[in-house]
Amino acid sequence: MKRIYLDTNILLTLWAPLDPLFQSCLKIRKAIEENEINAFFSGLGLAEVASVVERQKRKFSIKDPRESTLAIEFIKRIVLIKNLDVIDDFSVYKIDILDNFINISSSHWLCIDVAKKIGLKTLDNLHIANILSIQNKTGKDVDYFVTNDKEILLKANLIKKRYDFSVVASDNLISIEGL
Amino acid sequence: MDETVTSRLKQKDLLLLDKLIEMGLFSNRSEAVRKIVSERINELIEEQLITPLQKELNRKSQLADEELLVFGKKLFPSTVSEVVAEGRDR
Repeated sequence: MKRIYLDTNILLTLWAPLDPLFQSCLKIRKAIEENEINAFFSGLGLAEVASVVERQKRKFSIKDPRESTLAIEFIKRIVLIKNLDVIDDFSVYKIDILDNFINISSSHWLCIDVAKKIGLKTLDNLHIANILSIQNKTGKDVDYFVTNDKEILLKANLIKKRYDFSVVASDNLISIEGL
Repeated sequence: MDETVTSRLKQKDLLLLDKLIEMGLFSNRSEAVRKIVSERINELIEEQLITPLQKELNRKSQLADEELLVFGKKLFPSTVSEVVAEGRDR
């Protein structure tokens, strides 16, 4: 079974019917729930969901008494997706830098390498570092990083070359894997 | 790095602390205070930071799936990936 790591934009699109990739994201959720693919998401992603939803709420000044619970509602719906693994690697590396020891989380440490080699935005780099971290933790490769972010997709070849996993858009995953 | 902190304790608390030492839970006052403070700090962090959010997440949903889709239309009138990327630019 193929293993995928989902970017935040894929999961939020499940509740964005106006997004042109809405249907492809629904198909991915169906494949996860029916155990056709093994999917991972991260604590970082959940935190990003809350930030994005809160920012959009302020932008559109939604006037509804229930709007205060929106971020929580999205997080809850994501966590409840059947078979979706929300995973963070809590291992800490003790690094010796010129005799100064620092304790740093594995994801943050790996992120420094990703930033150096790939050079995307901080959160993009952190998601990639999370994939490497998940691979280390579970001892199994992740086959695809699924994202609809144009900048990350532009670096797909470089990421594949450096880290040996594919970066694909939601609609591409559907056609490649026949979901 | 450890640091020494001077603090006045109530007589009543010290008596109870000594009782715990006698019972063998701690080897001396210093160790007892250190362990009790550390445990209580963790409890307080949990009470203040974890529990309220966890309670909110465990509360019954106030929105039906269809209603969340309506909110989703308002929040994301265009491409979600662009909205998420916008936040990553900051």
